[in-house]
Amino acid sequence: MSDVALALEGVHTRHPLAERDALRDLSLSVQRGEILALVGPNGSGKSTALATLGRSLAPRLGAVLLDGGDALTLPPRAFARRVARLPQSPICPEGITVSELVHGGRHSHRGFLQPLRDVDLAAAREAMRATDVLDLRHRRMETLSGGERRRAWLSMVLCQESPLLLLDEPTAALDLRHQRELLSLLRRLNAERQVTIVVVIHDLEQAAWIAHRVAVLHRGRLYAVGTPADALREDTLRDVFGVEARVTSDDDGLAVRVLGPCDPLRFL
Amino acid sequence: MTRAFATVRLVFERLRDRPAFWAGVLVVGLVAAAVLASMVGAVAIPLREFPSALLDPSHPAHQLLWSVRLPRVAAGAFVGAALGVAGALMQAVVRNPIADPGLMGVTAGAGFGGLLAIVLWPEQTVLVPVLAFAGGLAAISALLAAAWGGGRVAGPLRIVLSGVAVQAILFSLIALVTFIYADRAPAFVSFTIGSLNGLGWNQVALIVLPVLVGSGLALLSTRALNLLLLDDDSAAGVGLGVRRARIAASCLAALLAAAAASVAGLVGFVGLVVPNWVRVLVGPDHRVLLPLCLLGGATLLILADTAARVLAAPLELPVGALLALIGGPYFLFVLWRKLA
Repeated sequence: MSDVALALEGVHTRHPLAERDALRDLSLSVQRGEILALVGPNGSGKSTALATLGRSLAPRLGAVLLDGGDALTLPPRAFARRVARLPQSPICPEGITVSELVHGGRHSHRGFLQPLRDVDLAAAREAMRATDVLDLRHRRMETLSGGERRRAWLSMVLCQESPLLLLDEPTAALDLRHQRELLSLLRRLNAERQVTIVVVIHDLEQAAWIAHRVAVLHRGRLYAVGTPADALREDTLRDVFGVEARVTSDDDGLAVRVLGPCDPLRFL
Repeated sequence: MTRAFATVRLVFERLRDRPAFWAGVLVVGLVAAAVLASMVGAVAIPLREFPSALLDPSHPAHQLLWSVRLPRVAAGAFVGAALGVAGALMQAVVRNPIADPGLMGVTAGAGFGGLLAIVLWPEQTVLVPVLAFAGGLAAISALLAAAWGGGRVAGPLRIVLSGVAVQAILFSLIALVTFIYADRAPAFVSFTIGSLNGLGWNQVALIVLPVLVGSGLALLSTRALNLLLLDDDSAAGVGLGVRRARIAASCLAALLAAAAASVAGLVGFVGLVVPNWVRVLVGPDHRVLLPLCLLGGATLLILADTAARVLAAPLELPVGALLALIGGPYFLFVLWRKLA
C-alpha cells in the first residue's frame, strides 16, 4: 500500500475559456490499491482534479505521473489500458444497445481491425453481470432509466479491466439500493482485484464508508487528506463547507449531522 | 386508420434489427433503379428488349445504352455512393445528424477547387480532382476550426452556423470566378449546378479509385467511428485518439465529396438524407450504416437523375437543382424536429 500509482505534482489546471485556474498548485498522490475519495464543496476543484488525473484536461503547469512516468505523453490506448474513467455525464447516440456500448470499453485491448474475441465478450459479460445490467443488454440506451443508464456506462468502464479506476460521482442519479450496491461493488473490486479507485463523491458519509483515504479540496487546493475520521473533522467542515456539523463515528461508519439552519448571507 | 398505422410501425420495429433484410432491399432497389434509368429517355428501351439491347451489338439501342445511359448510371452510382458515405462520415465527425458535405461547404470547397482547375488550366483535366480534394479538405478544416474553436463542444446550432458561413464564403468565391470567366461558361455551368449530363466512361474511370479507396477505408474504421459518437471524454477514456480519428474521418469525407464533385459538380443533400433514412432503418452502428449508405446513396442519385431527365423532357434538368428542391425542405424538417 505504499507505492504511488498516480499522482499530481504542482498542478495548475484551467478550464477552456475560464479566467482563473480551477486547480492551484495541487499535489496529490494515489497509493496503489487504495480507494481515495475526493470531496469538497461545489467549485472546489474535485472534478477538475479527477479530470486532470484522467487526462480529460491537460494541466497548464505541473505534472501527472502514472507509475512514476509522465502520463501526459502516453498514447491514448496505452493510457486507457492502465486507467479507466467514468465522466460525470457521458453521452451516447440514440439507438445503441447496452452491450454495444459495453463492448466499446474493449477498444484499447483490441488491435486495429481485430474483431471481438472470446476474452472481450467474457470481460463484457462479467462487467454487465457485476453492474446488474446483463438482463438489459439488448435494450437500447435511450429506453433505460437514469440509474440503469449509469450502470451501463459503469459496465463499459469496468470492461476496460484497467487497474486504476477514476469515477466522477458514480452514485448520482441512483436510488438508495443501487448507490449502496455500486459502492459495495467498488469495494469488492478493490479488495478482490486490487483495483485502485479514485472517486469524486458529494455525500461525505458515503465517502467515509467507501474510502481508505479522503482528500478534501477547497478553492483548488488540497485542504486535508487522511483517513475518513482524520480528514472529515468538524472544524474542516466549518472551514471548507461553511456548516456547523456534528461528526460521529461508530461501527456502521461515519455520520455527519448538520446542525441548525445555514445563513447564506453570513459571509458577507 | 390508426390501427393500420400501428401495424406498420410494429412491422417496422421488427425489421429494425434486420440489417441483412435492408441490405437486400437496397441491392434490389439499386439494380431496379439502374435498369429503370437505362430504359427511360428520349429513346425508350422496353423492359423485354433490355437484355438484347444490353448484349446484342446489332440491337439499335445497343450503342446508346453503352455509350450514354450506362456510363451515366455508373457515374450516378459512384457519385451517390460517395456522397452517402461522406455524409455518414461527416455526421460522425461533428456528432450530429444534420451534417452534410453539401450543406457544410465541403462540396462547395471541392467545387471551387474543381472550378479553378477548369477555368485556369482547361487542358489539365487531372487537376480537377486534385484541386477539388484540396478545396474540400480546406473547407472541412475551416468548418472544424470554426465549430471547435475555443475548446468548447459545439452544439448543432454552432455547427450549422459554421457550415453556413464556410459555404457562403465558398459560394461567393464560386460566383466571382464564374463572373470573371463568364466567357468559359459552357465548360463549367453544369458543374456549378451539379448534374450528371453527358458523363462518359472517362469520368467514371476518374472517380472509381478514390470512391473505392475512400469507402473502403471508411468501412475499415467503423469501430473508431462508432466510438466518435460518444462524447469526446468517454471516447478518449476507452482509448480512442479522438482528434486523430476526427481528422482521419474528415479527410475521408473530403476525399469522397471531392471525388463526387470533380465529375458531378455541386450535388447536395444526398449526404444529408441518405444516412438519416438509413439510420431510421438500422440504427447508428457504422458497421451496418456505412454499407447501406453506399447502396442507398447510389440508388437515390440514380433515381433522382432519372427523374431529372424525365420530368421536363426533352430538357434534361440538372439533378443538383432537383435534389436541392427536395433536400431543402427536408433539412428544415430535420432542424425543426432537432431544435424543437
